[in-house]
Amino acid sequence: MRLTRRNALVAAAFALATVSGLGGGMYLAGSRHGAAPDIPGLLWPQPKAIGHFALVDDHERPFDRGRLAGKWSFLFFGFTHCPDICPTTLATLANVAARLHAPVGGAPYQYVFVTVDPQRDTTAHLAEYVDYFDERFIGVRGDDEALAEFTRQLGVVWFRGEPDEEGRYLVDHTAAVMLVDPEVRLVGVFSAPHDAADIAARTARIRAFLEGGQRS
Amino acid sequence: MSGPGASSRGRLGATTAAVIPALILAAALAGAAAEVLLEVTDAWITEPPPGSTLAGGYLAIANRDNRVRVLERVTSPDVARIELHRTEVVEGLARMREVQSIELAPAATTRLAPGGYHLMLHLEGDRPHAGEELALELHFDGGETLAVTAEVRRRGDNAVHHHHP
Repeated sequence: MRLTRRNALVAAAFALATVSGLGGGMYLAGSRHGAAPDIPGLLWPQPKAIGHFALVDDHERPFDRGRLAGKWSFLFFGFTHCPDICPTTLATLANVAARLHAPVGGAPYQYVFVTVDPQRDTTAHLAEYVDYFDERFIGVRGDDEALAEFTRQLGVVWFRGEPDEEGRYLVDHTAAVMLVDPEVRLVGVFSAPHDAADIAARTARIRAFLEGGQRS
Repeated sequence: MSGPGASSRGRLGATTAAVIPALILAAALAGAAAEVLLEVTDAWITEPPPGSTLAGGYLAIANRDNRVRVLERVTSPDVARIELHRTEVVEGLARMREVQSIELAPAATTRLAPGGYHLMLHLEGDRPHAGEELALELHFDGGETLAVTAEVRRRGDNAVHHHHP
């Protein structure tokens, strides 16, 4: 499946409506966690449960729902032929990784870059690309259908421009970084522009809120 | 405005000796002013990740002119193609588009920076590494050009590093 511009715009509108709907719910009271704190980007009390998806990581291992369970995951969607915002965001996430440390015995953090350009971003290329930013980063890909199964659950959209005479094309994509909790729920959306200290601070607050709620 | 040149000074003779230093000073000032109406600083390009032939380029252009100037294109003897680009985030969607030129507002500094206007360099051959330098030539309206040296840097060099004792 190839997203046409029209389809992508419809998908974008739907996704934005979904995400803003989720965000709009954050002020509703009533959960085992108590009232949601005012943390920009926190999707609470209506986080989005993530269901089945089947992608592959940069070591050719399955990357599915089980790979998100038990971890705090940052997800970012982009493509390696993107010279500005994608590498900028990955460098920012490397900075976030240097700031955030999971408590001893607590769920670890993981950082996942999902390509929206699997035709050009082969597994091998993806591996060396993400390793350049941080060796802990995981590159993930899948065909358009598998990718869409994942992205539509997150409100993430992308669409590819028409190739020029040399076959080069650009891909528009959601700029936000997504935060998924160990119960595999989308709990945070960090909109661009990104600041590492800010993302780390908000993540620590979201984690403290959700983990605190689980202990009470 | 036309500043006095060497030929006009040559015709003055010795009659107004006191004027000559003033004219030389005026010529020097006019020359200096012409040189710094457009000034480029902080030029750097990103070290491309392995396997990538693309680099982003960033710089700041101070336009001290009293009119809008235009950056029309950028070239380099070491780069196959350089495009002017702009990244925009519209309703959460990141889009990158080629632009034909970049307008430089008068009496202001225009920054090409991550997430906004930038250069997109299509490299050939060995990828440049952090610490190396690349020659760029900026072409402005009216045929004016400026040669600058851009340093190759690794992105995120401002990241926090762990050097705890």
